[in-house]
Amino acid sequence: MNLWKLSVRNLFYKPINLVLSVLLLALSVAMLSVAIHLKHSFEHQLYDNIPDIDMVMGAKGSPLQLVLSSVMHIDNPTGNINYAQAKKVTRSALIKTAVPISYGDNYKGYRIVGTVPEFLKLYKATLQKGSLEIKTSGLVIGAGVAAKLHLKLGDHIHSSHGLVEEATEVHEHELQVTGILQPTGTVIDQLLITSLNTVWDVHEHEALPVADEDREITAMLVSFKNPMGLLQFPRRINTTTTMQAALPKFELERLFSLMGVGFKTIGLIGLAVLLVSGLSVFISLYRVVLERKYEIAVMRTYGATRLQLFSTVYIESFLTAVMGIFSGFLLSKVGLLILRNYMEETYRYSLNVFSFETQEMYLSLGIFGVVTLATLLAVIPVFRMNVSNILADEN
Amino acid sequence: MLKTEKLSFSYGANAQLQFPDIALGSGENLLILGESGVGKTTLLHLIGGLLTPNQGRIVVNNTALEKLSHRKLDAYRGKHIGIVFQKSRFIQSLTVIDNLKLKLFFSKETASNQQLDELLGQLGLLEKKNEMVLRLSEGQKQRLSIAVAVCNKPQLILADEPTASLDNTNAEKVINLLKEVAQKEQANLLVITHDERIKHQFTNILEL
Repeated sequence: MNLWKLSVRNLFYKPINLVLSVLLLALSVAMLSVAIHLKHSFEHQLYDNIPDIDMVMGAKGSPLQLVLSSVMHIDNPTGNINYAQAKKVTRSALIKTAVPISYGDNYKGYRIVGTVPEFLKLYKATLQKGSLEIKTSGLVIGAGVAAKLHLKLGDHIHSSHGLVEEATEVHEHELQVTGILQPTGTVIDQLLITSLNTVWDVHEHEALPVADEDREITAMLVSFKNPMGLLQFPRRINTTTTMQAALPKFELERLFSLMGVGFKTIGLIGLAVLLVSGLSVFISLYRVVLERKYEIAVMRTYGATRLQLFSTVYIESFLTAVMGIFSGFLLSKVGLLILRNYMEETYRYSLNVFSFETQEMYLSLGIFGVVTLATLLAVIPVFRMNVSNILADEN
Repeated sequence: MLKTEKLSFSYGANAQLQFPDIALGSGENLLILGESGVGKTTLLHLIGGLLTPNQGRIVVNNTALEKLSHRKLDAYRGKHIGIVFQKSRFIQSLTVIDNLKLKLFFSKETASNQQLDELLGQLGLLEKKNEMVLRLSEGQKQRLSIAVAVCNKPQLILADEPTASLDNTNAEKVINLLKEVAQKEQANLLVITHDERIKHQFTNILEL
């Protein structure tokens, strides 16, 4: 016999109390863990997807929509811009790169982006199989697309018009997979990349040929050599051209601050549930200590020290906390898996479900802190206990 | 060996209880008789170190209890004093045998499974050793209470009204059991009671 055995037997002696305490702790852990993961995933998607894109040029409209559609690839574009005009504007010593992108088609819900080779450099994409060369009618595809749609080198596909899977207008033009990229953890994993010519060809096959000076793109992703560009270009473009300039970092931070309210709310609800569960653990332990006052008094006559008695109660609450934390993380992972599937189906974005965030470690430590405090408060009667009175009262 | 000298105790501002001196040699028994309210249980709790006397001293096997710190007194009581309470109290989540093992654990004593089986056998509880204590009858609980008190071979066994809820036959059996166990371990047995039925089983009697 030892204190652990005694505590485990005591813990499972009243299983309903145990289940309720574990359930409450698990719920708070799950809510806080989901909030932490969503916030981190969102931050990751925001900041990792705009490594070198200082400015996006596109059709006038909502700047946030332009950034979301051209950088994050989760919204509809604001319209098209003239490629020749865009090139002319970006011909400046202040600009490091200006990468045109044109999109409007999809394959099974995954976006097809017509662009130039610099696009791959922008996302630091490296080759897994085939070739990095973006050929006409060729496709370099992201690792996520290849895995999800089981596409291999040499596979032929037909793109569909529009950005959603339900699009019924399938183009005749056949595209061939010529390269597969290594996973990058960025949006490029979810894209099929081809040349600008391919996008234009696919559409011109079904319409009148377009003169070179009239060709359109959806947006231009611009990075500057120095911050001077950021000061001069956006204002100039917005005031002197028919295009608009949007700053991804600014727009996404604005969006993040709006969404931050939601994360904070979830976090606060989780903390409230955690406090309630801490209180519940305390009430449950306090009741247990009072219910067991005769047992505790008897153990004192056996020679048990106050520290040993405190330890038996603490081991019980420690094990309850461990079960609550474990069940909470399990619940959180199940919830995040469901959410990941939904995000992948709807936005082609993936959530990192199985990572363990530092904040989750702090959360676990916090719960042990709450449980320790609850135990200390609950065992006060043990320290104040007058064994003689208790044992005399029973007579 | 047990010796008390000029013991007195009071609960708050209540009148002080004075107790006669007790001196027991090795293996001797004592029955303390008295009506309700004369301080029988108080005396037992003083001797067991559960209460601290206002005055006087208690010596158990050459150890003066008043000289021990709280921590050392807890340890000393667990190791050397076995107490049988009127109403049996055990750890409900444990089996019969585990209640004995828990007492051994806290008193830092050891006993083999065979020794524990022998003790339970002597008290007629061997076939109940793996039962939860909740399932025992009142008589079985009383006997288990004795087993728990003596399993670590204490030098002093204190019994508080051990026969209060028992009929004549069982009252006699319980006292015989306590005496047997005490004799086997050469321990002092001190029984406090208001039950006149067991008077004839003791030669050394103190009336409060």
